[in-house]
Amino acid sequence: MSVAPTLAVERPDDRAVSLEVRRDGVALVTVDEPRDPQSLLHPAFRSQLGTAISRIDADAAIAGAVLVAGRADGFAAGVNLRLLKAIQFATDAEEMAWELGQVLRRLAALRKPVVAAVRGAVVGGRFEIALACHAIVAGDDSTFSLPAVRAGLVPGANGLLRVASRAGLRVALDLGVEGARLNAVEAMAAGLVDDVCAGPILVDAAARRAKALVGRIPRGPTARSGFFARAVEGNLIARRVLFRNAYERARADIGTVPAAAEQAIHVLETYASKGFDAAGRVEAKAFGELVVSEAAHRLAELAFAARAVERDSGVDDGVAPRAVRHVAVVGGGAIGAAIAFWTVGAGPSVRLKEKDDKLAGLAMRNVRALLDARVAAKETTTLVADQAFARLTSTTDFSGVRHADVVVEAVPEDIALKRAILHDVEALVAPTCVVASTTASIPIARISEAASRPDRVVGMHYVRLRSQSKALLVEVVRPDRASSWAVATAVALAKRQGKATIVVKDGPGFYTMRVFTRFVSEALHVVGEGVATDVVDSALKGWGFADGPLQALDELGVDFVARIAHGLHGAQGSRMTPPGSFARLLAAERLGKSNGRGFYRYGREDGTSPAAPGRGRTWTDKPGAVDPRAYEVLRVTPGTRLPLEEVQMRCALSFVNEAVRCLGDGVLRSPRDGDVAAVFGLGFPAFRGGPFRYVDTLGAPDVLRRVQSYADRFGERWEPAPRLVHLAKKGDRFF
Amino acid sequence: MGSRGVAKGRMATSQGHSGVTASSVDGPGSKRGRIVIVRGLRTPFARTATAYRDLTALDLGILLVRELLARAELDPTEVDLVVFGQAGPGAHVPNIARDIVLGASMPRNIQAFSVSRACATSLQAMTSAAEAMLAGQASVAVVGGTDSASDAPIVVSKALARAVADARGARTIRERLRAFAKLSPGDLLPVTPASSEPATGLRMGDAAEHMAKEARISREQQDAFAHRSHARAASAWNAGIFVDEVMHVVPPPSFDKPVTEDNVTRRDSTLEAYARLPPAFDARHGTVTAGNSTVATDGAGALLLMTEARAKELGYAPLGYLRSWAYSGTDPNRWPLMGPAFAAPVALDAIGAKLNDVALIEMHEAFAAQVLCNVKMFGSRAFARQELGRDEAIGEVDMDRFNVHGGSIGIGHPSAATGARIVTTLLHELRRRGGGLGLVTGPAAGGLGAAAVLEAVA
Repeated sequence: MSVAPTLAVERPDDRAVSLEVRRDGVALVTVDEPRDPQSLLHPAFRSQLGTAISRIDADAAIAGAVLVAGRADGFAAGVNLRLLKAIQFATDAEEMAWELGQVLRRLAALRKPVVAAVRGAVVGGRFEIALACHAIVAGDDSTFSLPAVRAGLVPGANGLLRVASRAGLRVALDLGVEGARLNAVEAMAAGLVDDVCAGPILVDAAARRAKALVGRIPRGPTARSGFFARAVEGNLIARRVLFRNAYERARADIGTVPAAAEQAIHVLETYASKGFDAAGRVEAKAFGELVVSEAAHRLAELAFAARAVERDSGVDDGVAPRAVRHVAVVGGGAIGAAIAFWTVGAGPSVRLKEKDDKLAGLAMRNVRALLDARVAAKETTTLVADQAFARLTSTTDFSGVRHADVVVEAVPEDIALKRAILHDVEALVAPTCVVASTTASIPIARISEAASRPDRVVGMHYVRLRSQSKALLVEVVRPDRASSWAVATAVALAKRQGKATIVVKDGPGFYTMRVFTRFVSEALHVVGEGVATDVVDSALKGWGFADGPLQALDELGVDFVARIAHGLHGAQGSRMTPPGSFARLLAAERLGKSNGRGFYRYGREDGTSPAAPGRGRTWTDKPGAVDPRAYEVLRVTPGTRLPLEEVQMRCALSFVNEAVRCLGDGVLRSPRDGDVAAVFGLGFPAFRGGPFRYVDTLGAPDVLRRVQSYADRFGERWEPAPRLVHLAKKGDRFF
Repeated sequence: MGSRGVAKGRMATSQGHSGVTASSVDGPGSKRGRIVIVRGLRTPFARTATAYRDLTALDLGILLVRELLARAELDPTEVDLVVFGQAGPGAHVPNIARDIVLGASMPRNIQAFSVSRACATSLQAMTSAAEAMLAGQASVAVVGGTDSASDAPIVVSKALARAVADARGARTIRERLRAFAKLSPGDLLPVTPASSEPATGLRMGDAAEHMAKEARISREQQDAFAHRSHARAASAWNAGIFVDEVMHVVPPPSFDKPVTEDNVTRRDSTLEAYARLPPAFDARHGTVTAGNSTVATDGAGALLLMTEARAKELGYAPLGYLRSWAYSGTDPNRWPLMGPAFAAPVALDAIGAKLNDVALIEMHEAFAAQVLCNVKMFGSRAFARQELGRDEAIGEVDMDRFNVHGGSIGIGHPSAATGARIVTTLLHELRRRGGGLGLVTGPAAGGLGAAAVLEAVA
């Protein structure tokens, strides 16, 4: 073995694998999984598992075995950062994966039956070990997934191959490439699991099955897969179509890392054409290469950062959040209804206030639809959804708001209206109640100017990408006068709602909208130079952004972003002068998707805009073709060709440079927050780790050089962030 | 009956004439053990199969209890007990109180049981909760009743029911088929749920006819009373009297047709219109019509009760107090709907009050005939002597203090919800009038009657 002995992978406990022979002759092998899933790769674990396998083979008192893999609560899937940092050479990782695979192959080849008994989240390596057993009995709470691709890797212990052999290539692609998660019943239907039972009787059920399998262990690769799977695997052309579609989907799916997804598909292709052993070789090699890839490292760092954000209270003085049992939401539009939905799902009751019964009913219907969609997606049950819905009531006055622990105002971006609501709410609620505004474009301090208790007024900005069905990020906005308890309480609530949550300083655009405004402004400059809108959008998507800047601008609304741009200009001076395009678009009422007049066509095929959509209705979700009338308004003729890299770098670096400025201005509390928010809130490419990681990866001097060259060409809007200059000068890094 | 001495004397129980049981909470001066009605709320009432077509009785109950708690700003963890009822218990929810607790996402450790006393169901819910509270078993209770025709059970013929039961017990397919062989096509049709009473075979309308004739209540009197009920309900709605008592319902699944008012009330009621209607139960000599009766109605009503001590601790001002209550039972052949006249004097006696001491009366209006007959007998010394064993009449009813905002005829009558409605309306009106004692009363099917004495301070 050539693995460096200094490997910093957590060495598993000497008793990580234990074996005990039951009176019925079934050996109970317990793989007491270490906290660190990657330590399954450690040679010590391998050898312990190997010893257990030898004992089962040799001990005449053992008829068969049950392998209990891991704790009932599962563990957080994610790649161990230390492992990645520790491995320098692809060949080392390849060797580790190959060796573990060899041990599992010995397990699979045993002449005595081994039945895996699994519960809870059966993720990654744990799933792969279970798959090497002769049968799997699953607790009814089990879920199965192979998320390695999301982390920029491929499953490294032949799990993908075994899924393909048991359930067919389609299921293997779903699990290994598309990131599907199956519940116990689905896994059984797919042929991955042999029996499902209640947790308390799991081991006994597995032992019975092991006894039943003595002398008749199932062999043969496709014995359990369905007709469709067999038909595809047997047919060369059908297989080719399947893989071609998989490659296409992998490229279009922003959640995956293209390189890793392609490798996973390649592994399965090899399996289909050349068999298990050849595919095992390809898999180990791919694993090795990916372990040392930039993308895997950035993703691991990002996952680590996201977990750190999850644990962060959002305040530095250790002030605890107040308990939140009752939340009032004022305004039941799209965002108000969504907030109500997330909140009742998390436990607190919600009192939703709307102007009249019709609007209240519409909001209720929207919440119900969001819950029903979760049921339809099998993310929850009807029972749980009904329980959540029962925690929601609506009102058209302020009744039932008085005892709220948090009031979330989610009315349209009208400062007078927001001030009036704050005034009404303050007259009712207790001094311990947090009052939060969901504004994205109005500084909180301007809303709370006349507040009687400005210390409890904060912002909760739910940031939603065009390509996301829901907001994943909340910026909790902290004005100077806000007290820590109010901030911590808002942060805790947002986390309960399932959001990545960062705390930012109050100011125009906060962090996300400020950075986003710079990003789309640069895109508008590029379009103003005659580059076609779809060229700009696809350039940035090609760079890894979830959404093209102009599609995103259509979605958010030109009027809305222009307002932020205007606010930033006022606050930050001429460096922030908005591109003239904003004024032209506004004058021509080309506001984007909201009125069906954007850079792309929305609504009817012929491009005529139907009457303004009513509340709660939206235009067709997907933008159509480029709408050439936008070019007329901007007075450009599309056709200018800029190098792809210039389009990408100008937009991306305007994003990065402004993010670094936000850190320097104290808008962000840490570069970590800036990275997490950029990825989760704005679709910055995850495999680049976020704007700050990106600077570290490229090197501050290199980033500065590029920014400076744009500054020379385009003037003061490209003025480098002082922090970037400082970093470059000192040769320092953010992390 | 026979609950004398319950809860170590905190509740006095006495047994009167005609199987009447009365309970009173310790005297007016006592602070210990008083039951506080903190809030009352109901849904708008709607003719069956109209606005609430898609809602079951349980759905309505859940919507109402959620809103009651939200408006009261009471944390559901403070609730100890839920007592609820349906006049026609559904086959799917034998214990609707518990299903309301579960369906409204209330804490699972809340106790819940269901009661049924026909048209007095939510009064029964109120007094059953009060008994538990006086016994020290609960200090915060949500009570009420709910009815919806949308989930009224479909009843099958006896022959079909037996065949199904036999088939279930059959061991072979042959035996199973044989169980169904004897059925005739008619046995397969659903049976209209009984509207007549099993003991008497009389429909409620027949009972009203019987009473109208017995007490010589004319068609004109009945029509005038029905008109009064609608007109008063309409003017109460116009004056905003019910705003604090009635929630708005936006029925799922479409959530687009808000229900904000009772749709039973005739806003343009004219006396002449009533005269045109034919008798509904006795074609030749009858006086009871669809116009001077209450209609089948969907809706729910609920009350929030607390012990006085707990209300103080939680900072709730009382809407009013429950002072005493009584239930009566009489022969349904003789006095089918005369429950108020039997129960009310006993409830008043329990706190030493006379009808004159009462500032307001709310009586459930099943039929104008029933109301007028009871009112007449309240003032009848002969009735008191013969039927109640009392020397003096209960007292003359002052119609200016009687159902001042209309009653079940003009507002509607989801049987299980009416009790909560009249308690709430009475207490709000008492407060508007400066407080005092109030009487709520009503008949219930089977010859039962219910009455409770409430008190409000302005």
